[in-house]
This record gives sequence, structure tokens and C-alpha cells, in this order.
Amino acid sequence: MDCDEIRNLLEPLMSGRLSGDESRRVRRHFASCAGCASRLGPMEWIEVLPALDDAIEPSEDFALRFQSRLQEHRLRRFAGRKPWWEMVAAAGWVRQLVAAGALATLVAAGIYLRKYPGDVTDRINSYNELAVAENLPLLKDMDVISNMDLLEDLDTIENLPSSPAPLLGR
Amino acid sequence: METTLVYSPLIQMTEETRNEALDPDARLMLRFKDGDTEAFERLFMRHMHPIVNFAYRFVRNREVAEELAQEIFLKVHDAAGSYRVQAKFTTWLYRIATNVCLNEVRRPHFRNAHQSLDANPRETPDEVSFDLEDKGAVDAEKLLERQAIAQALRQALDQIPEKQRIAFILSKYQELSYVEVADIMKISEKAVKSLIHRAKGALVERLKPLLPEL
Repeated sequence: MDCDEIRNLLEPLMSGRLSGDESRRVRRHFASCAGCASRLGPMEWIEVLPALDDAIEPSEDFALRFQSRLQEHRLRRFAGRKPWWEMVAAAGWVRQLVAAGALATLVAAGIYLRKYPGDVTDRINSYNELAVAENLPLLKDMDVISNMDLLEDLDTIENLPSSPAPLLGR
Repeated sequence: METTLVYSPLIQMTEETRNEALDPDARLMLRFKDGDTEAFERLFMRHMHPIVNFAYRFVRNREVAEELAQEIFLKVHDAAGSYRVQAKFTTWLYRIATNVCLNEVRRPHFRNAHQSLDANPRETPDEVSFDLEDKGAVDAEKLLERQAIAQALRQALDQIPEKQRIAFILSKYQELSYVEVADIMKISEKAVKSLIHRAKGALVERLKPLLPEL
């Protein structure tokens, strides 16, 4: 690439549109060509200077060292996979106690619900009835039901005719 | 209105053709995910050089940089099981690398060591070789001066805000496009432009006394 071509690439370089080898080539050219370098302002120099800061080479034994570290890592990971009973055994006595307690509670709750399945529903129903009774005055105040006396007087309710009389005469 | 779907064997994309469309690194990673350990070794060999250098830009110490690079590749190794091809492999790799390097430079022991190191002359890259065969090339003395300023730039980078530093390193030293940097940093391309512009402004400010000599 000649100087003209490189100079045309300064704008794409500055706006981050170049990458990889192309941007490296443009930077290096500007850093080493007296004619092109003379056209650079401070902002452009900041763009070009990284090309002059040479990369380091990894140590010769870097790949070898990584390989042995990777082997150790794999072994440790493999050794780290213990069966659950070994993990429980390795846990402290406090954790073991808490886990045993939680398990016992779960088993007891399961047995109870299996033995008395209706008991819980009955309790919920009686709780609902109690809540309605407690809130009757409130319902009255809020004009939800206009004649509370009738509702409270069960004898009157029982004596009401089974089908209501027509409101309008024929 | 009735729509009829016409099946065309031309648009059928098999697993094989999809893999061929992937970037070579992503293909290697998928092979490694399937248990091919040789594929991981090839990935390591392809990327060890830029990753060691990337870490070096953050820590400016070869030993620490190599240690961090190993850690980065171990993380890649461990994450293989959950690897999915969503972007370029390098985007994923540099995201891991950025996190590892930031964790290191944020540690108090690194900061303390770094402050004391700043008082001493710093480690320089091994060899500074440059092609001066071009017609109209600057003289060697001028080039050495520029290389000294390039090192000053590396030091000045430590003083600018973290995000600006990451964007600048990825773009100017690792030579990634703004689009790739945006993917790595999980920000918009516009935000990358803004970060780099501010970084350059801050660096010009710090290197002002040296720049006119260029």
C-alpha cells in the first residue's frame, strides 16, 4: 500500500472501522513514515502510538506450564466430584443435625397429612365461618346486606315460603 | 387467504452447513464441548499470544500477565459445557479475559504493589523491532523517541477511568473494531465511541508535553 492509500484509511481507523491486521498496518505506517506522520495531530498520534508499543512474547515454557496446570486442574475437578453421602459425612455436625431435623419434620408432616387428610380442610372451613360471623356488624354498616335481622333470625328464614311471591300482580 | 409453505431443499440448513458458517474458533470450541481435547489445545495456541498481551496491558508485569492468561484459559475450559454460539468466539473470550484482569487490578494487594512499582522504571517489552525499509522512513532516533512516548502512553492509561481504559485497550492494542468492543463490554457502539473519544482526550492531556516532539 502506498502513502495515498494509507492516508485514506486514517478516517476509518479513527472511527474504529478497521480491525486486525489492517489497523496494525495503517498505524505502523504512520509511525514510521515521515511524510504521513507530519500530517498527524495529537488525537491521531494517540491512535498511532499503540503500534509502537511492541507486544511481549510469552515465555518459552508458557504452553508447557499451562498444560501441567490444566492436568492438575482436571484431576482436582474430578476428585472434587464426591457422592452425596461423602459430602454429608464431610459436613460439620451442626449441618448434619439441621439436615436430620428438617428431614424428620418433612417425614412427620407427610405421615400426619396422609392419616388425617380431612382435618386440615375442616379447620379452614370453620375459620372462614368464624371470619364471616366476626364481620357481620361491619357488613351491616357498609350496607352490604340491608336486613341483617333476618339473617340472624334463623327461625324466620326457615318459615319463609319456598318460592317467592310474584312482585307484580297478574 | 390460504398460504402454502413450499419446502425447498436449498434452504435446508443441516447441522454440518451451520457449523461451516461459524467462525473457526467457535467450531473448535464446539468440538471441545463434544469432548475433543485437541480442539482446546488448538484454541489455546491460537489465542495465547494476544491474551498474554491483553493481560500485560493491565498489569505490566510478564509473570502476572502469564498467570492471568492461564486463569483465563482455565475459565474457558470450565465454561465449555455451557458454551453457546451467540457471537464471535473472541468476543466471549475477551469478555472472560476482561473480567479476570479487572478482578486482579481491583485487588488491594495489586494496587499497593503497583503504586510502589510506579516509582521505579518499569518493565519494557523484550524486543523493539521495526521495519525501516520504507522510503521516507523516520530516522532511528526519532523512532526510539516515539517508542518511549508509546511507553509513556501505556503508563498514562493507568490513570484514566476503568471503562475508558478497557475500551481503549481492546480497540487500539488488541485491534478490535468498535462493534466487537461494544459486544465485549455489553454497551452500544455509540457508548464505545464516546468512551474512546474521552480516553483519547484524557491521554492527550497527560502526554501534552511529549507530543510536540513527535
